Amino acid sequence: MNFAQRLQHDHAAALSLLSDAAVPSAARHAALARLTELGLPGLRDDDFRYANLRPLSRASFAPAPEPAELASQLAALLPARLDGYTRCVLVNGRLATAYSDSAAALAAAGVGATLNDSFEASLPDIGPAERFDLLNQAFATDCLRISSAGAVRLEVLCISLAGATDAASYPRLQVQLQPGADMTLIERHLGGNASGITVSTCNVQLGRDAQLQHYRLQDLSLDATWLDTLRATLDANAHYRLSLLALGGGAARSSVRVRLAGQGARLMLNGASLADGKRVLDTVIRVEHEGRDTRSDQLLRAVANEQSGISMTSRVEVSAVAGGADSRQSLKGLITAKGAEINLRPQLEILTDEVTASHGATTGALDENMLFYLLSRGLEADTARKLLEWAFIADVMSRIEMPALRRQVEMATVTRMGNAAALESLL
Amino acid sequence: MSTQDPSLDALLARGYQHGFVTDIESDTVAPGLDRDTVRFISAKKGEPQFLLDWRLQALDRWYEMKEPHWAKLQYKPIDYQDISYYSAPKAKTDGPKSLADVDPKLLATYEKLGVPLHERARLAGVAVDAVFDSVSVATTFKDRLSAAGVIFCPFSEAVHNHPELIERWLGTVVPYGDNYYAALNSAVFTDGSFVYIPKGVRCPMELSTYFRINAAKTGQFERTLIVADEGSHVSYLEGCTAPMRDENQLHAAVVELLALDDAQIKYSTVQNWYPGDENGVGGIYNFVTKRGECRGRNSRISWTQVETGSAITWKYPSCVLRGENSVGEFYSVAVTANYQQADTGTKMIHIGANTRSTIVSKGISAGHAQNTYRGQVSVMPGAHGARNFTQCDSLLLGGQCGAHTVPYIEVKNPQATVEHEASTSRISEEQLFYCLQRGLSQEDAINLIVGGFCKTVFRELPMEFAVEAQNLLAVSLEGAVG
Repeated sequence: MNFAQRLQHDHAAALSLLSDAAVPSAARHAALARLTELGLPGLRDDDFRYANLRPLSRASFAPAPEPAELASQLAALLPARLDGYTRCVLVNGRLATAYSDSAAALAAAGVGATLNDSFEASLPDIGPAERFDLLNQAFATDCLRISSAGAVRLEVLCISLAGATDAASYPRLQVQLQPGADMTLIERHLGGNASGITVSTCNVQLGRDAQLQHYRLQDLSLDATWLDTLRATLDANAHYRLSLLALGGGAARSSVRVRLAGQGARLMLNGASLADGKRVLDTVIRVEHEGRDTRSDQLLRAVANEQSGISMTSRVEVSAVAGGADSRQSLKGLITAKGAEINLRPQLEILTDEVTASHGATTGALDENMLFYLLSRGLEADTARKLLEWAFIADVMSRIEMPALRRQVEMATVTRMGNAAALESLL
Repeated sequence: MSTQDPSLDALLARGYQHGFVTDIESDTVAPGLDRDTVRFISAKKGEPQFLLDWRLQALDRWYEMKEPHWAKLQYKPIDYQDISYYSAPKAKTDGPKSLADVDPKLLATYEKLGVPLHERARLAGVAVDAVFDSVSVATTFKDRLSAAGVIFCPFSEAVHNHPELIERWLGTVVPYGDNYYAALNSAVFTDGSFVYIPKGVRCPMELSTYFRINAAKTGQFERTLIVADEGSHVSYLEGCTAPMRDENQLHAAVVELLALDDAQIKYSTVQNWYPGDENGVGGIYNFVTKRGECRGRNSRISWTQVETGSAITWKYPSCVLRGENSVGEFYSVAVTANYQQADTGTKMIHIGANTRSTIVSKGISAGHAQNTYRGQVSVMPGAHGARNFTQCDSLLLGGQCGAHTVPYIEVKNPQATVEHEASTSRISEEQLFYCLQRGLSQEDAINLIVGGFCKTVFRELPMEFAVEAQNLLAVSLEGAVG
């Protein structure tokens, strides 16, 4: 069966699992039709030039069933609780109430609220680069809707667990911050040994003067496939601080599209990707400056070890009416081994002269002088190298403002880097 | 159309200096392209069978290809069957043997363009090949060059006099199936220049080809091949103009450079094809494939271009750095005004160890123009110690134009270092204020600032072109206030 036939077949087979509450039936069918029309990206598709989509050629798109037994699998995956944060757990894309905070606590954090009608219309369009959002719409088994007008701290854990069958999970989040709201949202995608496909979607709308600190950590199993889409729209003077950390996944693709629609809207985006083995991590970011005096600041780092490949595309578009826009992009890649690959694409599309836009991109190896310095101080060669790799992404880590979360992310990162014990003692 | 800025309007209304038409009797083939057209061109040139076969293979390949539309360009579809693929001034004899045999109207045309065809009147140090529509009409200093062993002649002449060199090198850097426009050019190219610099020879003068489109309803498809043998050195200049017409004319050229061990090629272009009028009517569609291969150790290829003309520019002069320690350079100023669109940049493909490349690109956009830098730096797994530095800056003059930067950085070697930086802005009000405060007029201040913006590129141009480029820029930006 070709891609379109598999989509139709799997969708028909999964109808009983797909509720209107998650995604209305009409929207599902429209998404399916559009995705069928777009098809799978080909080798010449510039938006997917560096992504590894081979797992999709044989994958089943049917949603994974609810695992019969969760406790033992989840015990090893759930991170320690963070003080003051409401916890919400999704397992294979469905809310797991037994492992989440109480319904009252979730409701207090705005989980399960009804979103304003303006939500869908405000989001950036789904372009060819964001086509996996359509896959999520077609197959999502649940949808976590969050709406808040006050100050909220929320942690959402999206757990993909291995099922009895070859199947996919579809976590779906929709976040709407009312004017003046202030939220810290920690979104983690964790997977243990699950090697299936996770197709995640997160849609965000920030009202006037709203602030969202959004941490997204992807730490799935090393042979999992992650197809992720984040679309966000910012109203006037909204401030979106977004951190993207990609540590896991055998083939991961994250598409991020942010509209700075209102005057004075600001985006600060930090991202780091670490890969080893033959893993391929691809991040494509598109920031659209549409309002006056908008600002975006991006800091992206990539460390490719062994035979891995990391790609980062960051495209900034300034429309003709977005005078006073200010955009900065910094992309840096580190290749530590023969066979590894880094691809960077910092792109600008500017349609007004009242703008300041700049970008810098570098790719290189570890600095031999720095390495010598550390070796001369008595560090083991491997530890010294790992420490320098750590230093390479330290400016991204340092922007995680919560000490407890930063420590958790640091530990997750050093675990992925190997030589964790030696590094832990130095950090 | 008005930008409400009188000085910017002055820029947009600037006159094109080379838009005249030479009234000369021409031998022009009817529009249309098929295998017979290719056979006609080949027969007209009296080409050997291998070249006809090559052309026909290119045409077959072209039929299979689709016109690319990935560039950030919008233009009316091109009807390739509505173009005449051969037009040449009617000659009384088989061809001019010397300047004395050249039609005086043609010589007058080049005088008007400021191209020195009269050897006695020339500035020191430039030999010129003048290509008018589909044929070369004159080449100067051939004797002096041949004394040094340098071959510099029209491509059609090289096919007759040096067929072994043409057969050996043609299409080795840009194969006929490379891309849509290269395939088209390979099938129908009519003339161009051929340069061969023998081992150890430093070419005694600058070489230059001046391309002129004159006839209406025609395209120009020239092909340039430069081979620098071991230890040789050559500097080559290319200029071009066309009449002002309401129609869009197609120019699809191919330039192949080949540098062997220790050889150096410096290729400079001032592109001043007719850009169209202030409403975007007319102008040349300029689709050009330029590629140099540093095949030998320690070889160097340097591209310098000043792009001010053409309604549409699609052009990416590239370097394939195959030889160990080879060096590729790309220096570019691209100016677009009115409704001009340019999608231009370069590719640096690092294959050999310790290869180095430098890219400096300056884009200036005014009026409703769109200016895109598109560049690729690829470091292959074997390119140990490769280095690249890229700087691309864009300057916007007016609120309705666009400047775009689309780099691709692909690194597959852990010992390579690639650095890229870019900026987009308008003329700094602080700089402008500083200059005005020192008593400069606004126009002089802008010229000074823009001149400084482009300085790193202009200083790479040979003296003759640097003067022309400065003048072109000054005319382009006359009165333009950001």
